[in-house]
Amino acid sequence: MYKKMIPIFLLIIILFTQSGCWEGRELNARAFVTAVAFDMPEDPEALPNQFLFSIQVPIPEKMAGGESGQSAGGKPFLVFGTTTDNVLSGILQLQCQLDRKIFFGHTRLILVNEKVARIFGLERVLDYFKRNFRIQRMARVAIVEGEAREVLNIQPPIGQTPSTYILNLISPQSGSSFNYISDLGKWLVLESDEGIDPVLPRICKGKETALTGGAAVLKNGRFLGWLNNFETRGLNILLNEFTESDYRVKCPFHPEEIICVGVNNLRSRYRLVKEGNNPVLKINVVGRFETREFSGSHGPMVQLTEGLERAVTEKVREEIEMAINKAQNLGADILGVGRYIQAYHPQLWAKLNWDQEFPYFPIKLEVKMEWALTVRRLGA
Amino acid sequence: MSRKLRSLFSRQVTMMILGLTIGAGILTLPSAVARVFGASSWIGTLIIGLFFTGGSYVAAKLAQMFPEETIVEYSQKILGKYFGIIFSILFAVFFFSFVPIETRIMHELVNISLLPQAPSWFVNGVFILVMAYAASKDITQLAQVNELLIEIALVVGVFVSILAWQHFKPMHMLPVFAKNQLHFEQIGAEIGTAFSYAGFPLVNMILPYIRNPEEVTRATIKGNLLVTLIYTFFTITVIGVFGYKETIDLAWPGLELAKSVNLEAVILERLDLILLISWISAVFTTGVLAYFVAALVISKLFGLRNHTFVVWAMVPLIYYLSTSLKNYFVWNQWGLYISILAIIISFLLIPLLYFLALIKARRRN
Repeated sequence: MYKKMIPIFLLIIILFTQSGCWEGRELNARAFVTAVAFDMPEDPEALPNQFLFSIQVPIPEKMAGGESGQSAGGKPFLVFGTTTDNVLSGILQLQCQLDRKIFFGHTRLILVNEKVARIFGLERVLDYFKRNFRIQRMARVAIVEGEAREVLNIQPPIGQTPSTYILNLISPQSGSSFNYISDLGKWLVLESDEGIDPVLPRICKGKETALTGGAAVLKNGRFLGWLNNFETRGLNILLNEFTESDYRVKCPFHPEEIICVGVNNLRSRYRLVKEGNNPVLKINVVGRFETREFSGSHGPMVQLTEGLERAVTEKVREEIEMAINKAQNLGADILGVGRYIQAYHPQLWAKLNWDQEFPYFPIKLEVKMEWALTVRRLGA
Repeated sequence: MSRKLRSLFSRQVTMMILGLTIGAGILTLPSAVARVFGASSWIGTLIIGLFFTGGSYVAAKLAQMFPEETIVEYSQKILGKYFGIIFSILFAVFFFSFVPIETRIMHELVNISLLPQAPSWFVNGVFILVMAYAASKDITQLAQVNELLIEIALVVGVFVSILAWQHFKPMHMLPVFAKNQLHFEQIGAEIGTAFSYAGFPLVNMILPYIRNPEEVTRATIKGNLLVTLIYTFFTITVIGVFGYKETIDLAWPGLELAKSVNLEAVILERLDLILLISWISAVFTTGVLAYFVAALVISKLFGLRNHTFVVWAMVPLIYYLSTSLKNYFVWNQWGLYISILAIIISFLLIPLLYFLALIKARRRN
């Protein structure tokens, strides 16, 4: 008899417990945070250990109004913030103003003002996010030149949600090697790794849009300095994260004319060699390009080959050297040279005090670019 | 043992070893191994796995010497009645200790990801009741359920791991055995990893139920090799994606791995929850098989015809123990004790039994 009772008993339990989630919350009872921002506090009475924590919450009724999101009047999102010394306290303060439960499951963008990154460090402001299981490791993190909160307030020029607009700008789909592509997971890996310092994309507020390009150099979680667009492109080549980009070079025959070339195939390779008794890092970069635009009176010509390859090689070399010099000047090994030495020459690595050695470590660069001759039109 | 009772196929034996061995431990294994072996963790995982495969060979050979009996009966023949009973109690404690820890980890996983507010009486209670219901059934049904569930969990787990290779960096696997990354002094603290390998003594309880006892050694080794390969592949993936430093910092590298996977343009963009839900079935198979074996050992010790009563009698104790494992650190400590027991049983007591059984068999001949 009791054997028959057990399944019935279990069935009753399942019937009453499995029909819904425990403490389930309806969608309209949640405030979905799509992006967060950290700035220095505006409040003059703020304590030195406080920062301004802002969240962006979409307003579903206004978003449903149309692609542009403005048909129902006003912005389809709300940005509001609070001054706090830790994220969780900030969330609690914000929660007091909201009748919906703040929910971070859809947060895909974290913006940090450069001063906050310099003074507080990313570890401090991102600690909550790396411990919260609901936050994706794929959430994008960027350093903002200027007020991060203002970037959250930008209304996208083409109909999108604002956070998606910025996400797209700093995602691979942006198609520009002027951006360094990173996310929370990548930052965590690089931050914990030895022999490499992390870089995060840069964002700033333009007149009506967000501007991207360039990157922020970090060391021990703190902001050190900026890479400009060309240095960032050089860094992407060194890290083999370069996707595709266009370069402008002078015509070898007519220096006043411009030839635009597209580079879409670049590989860099590190090699440690000994010169005398000293180790030297040799970086070999090889790549291919195609001609895309001629400003002058002629198009592709076989006579151009040597001069054009030399000009493109010099251009690529110049940007990579800029990135190397910036890294060594800042004393941050964003190039991953230390990581390479640690992996392939562990005995040498054990002898090095890398923080002190890196700024003076000899690095030699060899670049060779080939015209892949993807010619679609001859003549001018 | 009658042919009717011998219902398990050798494939089911392999799957039962997989089901019992692969559970919650794999989700934390890479970080524990990384603390000792650094970037060479996968080699550590492989070596430990091969050691346990060797142990499983001895256990299977021992079982094959007594095809009609379980270890409860033949341990008393080999060691004498009292030592045999003590050994059997130790054996039951070993398997029993899996159940509260798997229950508690399941509770943690549910709280982390699915139902953050669900209380332990609900999550643990329901899980223990379902396990008890399954463990009270006979071994054939259990083997069939295990086969289905562990396959689902493994397919999803391997799928997620393969997808995670989009972030794989070969440089994270280097250098191999660098002195500054090897911390053998921590092996004592991290010996809890052994808990993730020690499912094979199951074979010493189920041989009388296996259709072709002569195939059991092959099936056991196959099971343990598969476990070793899966663990090694998983560790390679985790270390290759995160690097050993970040892996050390992660409490649940398996879940973090799923969180870093992105399936662009597919409706199921987030795979962590899919992995979690399917992995609960892997935790379930570990718990239920260990539960079954512990109850079977005790029922045989007391000469009971059916283990069902023992299964249900254990429920309050499992619940009490599962709730007393209050946090990650406490159950890791518990895992350490189980691992020490696993090592004693796998590499000391079972080989000792085998050795003594061989001597007795020679004397008899």
